[in-house]
Amino acid sequence: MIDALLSAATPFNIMLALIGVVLGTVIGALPGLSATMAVAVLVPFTFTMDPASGLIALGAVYTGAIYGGAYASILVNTPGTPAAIATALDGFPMAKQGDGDLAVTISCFASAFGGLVGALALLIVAPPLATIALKFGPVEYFWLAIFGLSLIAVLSKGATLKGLIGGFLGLGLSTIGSAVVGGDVRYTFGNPVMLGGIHIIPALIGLYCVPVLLNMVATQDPHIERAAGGRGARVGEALGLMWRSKFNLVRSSVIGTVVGILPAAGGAVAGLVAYSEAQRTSKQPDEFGKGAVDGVIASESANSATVGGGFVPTLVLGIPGTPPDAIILGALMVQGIRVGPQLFAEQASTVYTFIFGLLFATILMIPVGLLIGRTAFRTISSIPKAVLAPAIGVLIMIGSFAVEQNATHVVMMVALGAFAWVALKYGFEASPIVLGLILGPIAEQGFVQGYLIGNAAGNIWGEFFTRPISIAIIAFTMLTLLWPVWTGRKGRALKGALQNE
Amino acid sequence: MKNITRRHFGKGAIGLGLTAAALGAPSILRANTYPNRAINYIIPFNPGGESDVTARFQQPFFEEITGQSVVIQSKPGAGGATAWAQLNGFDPDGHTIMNTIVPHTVLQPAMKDVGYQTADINNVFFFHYTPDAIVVKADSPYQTLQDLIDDASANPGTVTFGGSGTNTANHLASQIFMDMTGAITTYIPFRGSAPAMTAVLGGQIAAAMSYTTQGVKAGEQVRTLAVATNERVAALPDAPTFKELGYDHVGGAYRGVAVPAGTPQDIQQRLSDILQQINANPDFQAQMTAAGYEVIDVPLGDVPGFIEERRAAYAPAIERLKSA
Amino acid sequence: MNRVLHRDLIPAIGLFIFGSYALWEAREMSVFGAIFPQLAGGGLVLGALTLALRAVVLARVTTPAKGTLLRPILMLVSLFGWSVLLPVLGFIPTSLIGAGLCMLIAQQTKVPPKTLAFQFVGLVGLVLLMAMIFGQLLNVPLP
Repeated sequence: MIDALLSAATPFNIMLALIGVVLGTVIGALPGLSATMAVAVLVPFTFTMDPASGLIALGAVYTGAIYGGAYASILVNTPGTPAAIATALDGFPMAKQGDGDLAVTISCFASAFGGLVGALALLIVAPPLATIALKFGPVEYFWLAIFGLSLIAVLSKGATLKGLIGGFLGLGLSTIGSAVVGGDVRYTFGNPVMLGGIHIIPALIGLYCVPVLLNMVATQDPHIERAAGGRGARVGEALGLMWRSKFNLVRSSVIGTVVGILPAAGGAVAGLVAYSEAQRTSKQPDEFGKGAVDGVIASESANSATVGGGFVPTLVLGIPGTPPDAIILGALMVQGIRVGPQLFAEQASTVYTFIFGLLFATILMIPVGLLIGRTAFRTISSIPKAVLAPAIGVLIMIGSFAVEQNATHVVMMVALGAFAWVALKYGFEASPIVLGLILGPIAEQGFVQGYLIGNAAGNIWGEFFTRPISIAIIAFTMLTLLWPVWTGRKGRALKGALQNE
Repeated sequence: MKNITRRHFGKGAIGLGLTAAALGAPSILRANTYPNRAINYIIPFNPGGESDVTARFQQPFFEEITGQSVVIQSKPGAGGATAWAQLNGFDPDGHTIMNTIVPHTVLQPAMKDVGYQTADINNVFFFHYTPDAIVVKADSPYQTLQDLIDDASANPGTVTFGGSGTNTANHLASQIFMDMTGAITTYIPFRGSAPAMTAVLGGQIAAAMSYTTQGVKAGEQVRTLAVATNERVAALPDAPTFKELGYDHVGGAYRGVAVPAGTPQDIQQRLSDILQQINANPDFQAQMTAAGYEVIDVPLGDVPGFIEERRAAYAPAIERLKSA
Repeated sequence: MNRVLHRDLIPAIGLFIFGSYALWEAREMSVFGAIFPQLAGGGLVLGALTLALRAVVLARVTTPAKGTLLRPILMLVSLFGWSVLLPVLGFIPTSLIGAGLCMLIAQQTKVPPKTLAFQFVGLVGLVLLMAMIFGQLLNVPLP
């Protein structure tokens, strides 16, 4: 281990980690460029390096890209990567209220903390943790998706009906394309590009960013508030708030690590689950969605923890935990390394060097993130709207084109954006639609696979309701849905008791 | 895009006229200079998958032979159909090439309207196949393929076979397996071959109708009951072939390279020659074999016969899938 | 009162059409392929009916959104044009036109032509920078 630490700490590797984090952060911040794409584009450059250095570079890019998504979420309400969806829920309201600088700083510390928890889990307890990936079968994924969908009720307080309708809209959108189960070609209007379904990244850009862009030109108000005079990065204030939320921070990082281990879940689900739990256990649950610091902390620490978590099944079992891990696995195979359970034994020095490199990259993310974040905040809050609006226009156009080099995605992005803008005018928020869109396929595949497996065993009910992990997830879902009712009643009872006295 | 296409039409017409006039001299010239810039190699699947990995195996050899760089681009969606339906929209100059798979390109148009027909895909070369393989978890009660067949025959429908998607190569292979052995299994579609393997490792399904590569990747955690090759696979020396066990089944996912319709014949031939030259390289072969792939040569001239032969082999199972 | 009724009735009609269409198409699908389309379609139809019913029975007061509609709609039209022309004219020309239009639409107050020119030069720089990053560094073949 000490050898691995020393070989990770060579100036060349540290430099690679630094360049990787910077590149990743910038790529992740651009709407349309996800962590998956950042890693895919940079893979060929690593073929000339020795495997451990190549892995460090890719891991650093991946870590940076997951974090970079936070900027666009906070400052423009556009999750740069799907993992940052939950960050936008409270990050953008914070920015609107003039706390954009604080949100960016907090997201940086929370990401670094989550990233460290994930990487340490990978370093210390990877082999036993990897079995979690195998315990999750189709039924567990189905219930996990349902748990995620229950967040709609939390998000759409006061407009539950419209939130539910939005969820169904998202589910409907998620069925477009060629179906994995059943093989049907659904709602494609004969367009071959639609066969692949609605791509999540152009959809996120359209649903979140276009309405912001349209509303930006509707009024004269500044895009985001900025206090007069520089307040710096508000590091002290951020650290204080983090200390107050230490339980949230740790819990969200653990959730992120565990969800990262699950091959079909990923950063978006991790952020949403952690957000939902933070909201449920918060003392001020009503603040969520209106600029709660805890929301940003939960989302960012959880999505960064998925990086380390995702490498657990990737390195231990040869099962990629997240899409970027699949690319990294492919890169390893091209380099002639046999992946799978024998990897830790045969390539121990490579693996441990890589894990230490990932830890360094996560630590380097703090200065890099603070610096880039502050620049991004200053730029976006100070340039006039007449420049900001077209600049965002250029970024979303090229971003949605670049996802698959397809012009149809760009048109789809604008069309969804127009739809979301009109829907918003009638009180339908984008988030329930996005939840339906992301979780719909997980729920559908899990349901049909679980049904078929249960049917083959002659026990469909038992398949869905008697497996221990399923029961636990169902219980958490019920808790999320019923908790507000219960605390509400308790609050009223307390008030009533006081009045009686 | 439109005006680029038009420009190319013009060029093509001039080229054609010249070819006729000079009795083919310029066409030889053109083939000699091809490729004269970077090649776009489109992979219709996610990075990290088998199509991507084998293309990356080819990449350095391709660059070494031609001196031009190869840019690998992924356009995933609908089991490859999204990209294949767009193939003929690219410039037919040989600088945009696309990875294809049989049986996918035979099966998909036969089952649903996916925006292309089998004949629309202009394959120039098939360079390997990833053999079908039946994989179970290491502690599975099925020690041999016969154990599994016996159980599936005694209790029809209770043995679950996971594979990648509905109406796909794995689905077809499961159908062929049932027709061949008389056993009745339940096919469970997953999002890809990797999630199906995860479900095997997790014990949620009994077996995976997968590929040799997945058996190699999972190593000691799994046992491969049978592989669909003529000889045993070097990377899985303990796994018997279907032929040894008395079932005549050889096949898998045959990967090829296609060009847009209208690509000049001489360029197609040159591309086929380049790919054949890569296949002949012992280093390339060693990489492929170690990962569980079987290298084959189906050059341009043999492609139509090969597709016809495969189509005939799949026909009965496709009819069964359709009526299901 | 009438305006309030209006506000929820229009989306209810739209959602009802969406949901019915989803259900209609789902008839042709295989048993397992149809489950989620039917769920989504059914949910939309039910949701639309409930929404309409609530709009008729409980007419709530809603506040109209702040700001004008003209600019956003102009903006939307130019974004549409931008996305449709992207593959026809190529990335750089379309983006220059699109960004220029968006800049004019977003201009709330009269600014001197010099400032305008300055801002446009900045945008040209951004377009070229993006074209370079994506086209050259990230190997994205731009139209």
